[in-house]
Amino acid sequence: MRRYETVFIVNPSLSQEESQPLFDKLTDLIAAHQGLMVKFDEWGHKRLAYEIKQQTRGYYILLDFCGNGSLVKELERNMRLDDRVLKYMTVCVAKDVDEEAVKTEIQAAEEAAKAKESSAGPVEDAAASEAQEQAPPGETLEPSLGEAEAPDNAAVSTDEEELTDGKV
Amino acid sequence: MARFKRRKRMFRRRKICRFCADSSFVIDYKNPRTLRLFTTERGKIIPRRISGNCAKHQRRLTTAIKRARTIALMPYSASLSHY
Repeated sequence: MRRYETVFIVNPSLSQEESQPLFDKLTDLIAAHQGLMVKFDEWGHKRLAYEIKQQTRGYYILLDFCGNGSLVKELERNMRLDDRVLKYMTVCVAKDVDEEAVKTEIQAAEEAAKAKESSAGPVEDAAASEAQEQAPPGETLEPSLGEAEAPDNAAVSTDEEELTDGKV
Repeated sequence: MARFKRRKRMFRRRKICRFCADSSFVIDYKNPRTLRLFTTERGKIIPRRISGNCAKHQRRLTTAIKRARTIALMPYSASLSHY
């Protein structure tokens, strides 16, 4: 068993009902090939660094799973044929993964998520509002590029801002 | 000759690999924010000679940046609207 990460970009104009069958199909595929789903992480809408199929935005999804080469081959074949997927990339994270260790990891992650939900209700809200406030400057690419165009000092300061944003 | 060259050289602050200095600073292709610190505004990867990274981390950094490029998290070449 190997551990893989697949990042794929779905057409942003699709609604939830339209994209859900695709997600179900891919997750079913993993199960059908004796794979082990670790995480299905939706990053949401993001601006693309360059146009893909005339799209400037995309809906990013990260698939974290265990399996073997045939599973990856099948997954990529499906994504290649599907018009809804703009682009995909699979990265092998670890060779020779212990199945039991991964299963315990999945369980631990689930429990952590549950604990977070039950205990940190109001705190989470505060964090969310904070994130929203800081999101606008970081989200758009062009303003930061424009600032970097200005004298050297300005470029350095934008770099620092980005770093602190990332840490928050 | 060698001594002459050394004298001619200006004083420079010794550069330290930022990834060796700070272990919480991780290289990950999924996090373009940190990767962007090591590219020019045009999207080129900054050489080790200038950034001061060690060989090990520069190697990982380049693969991470190239991975980020393939899934459009980072540009292959950024266009400057001012030109």
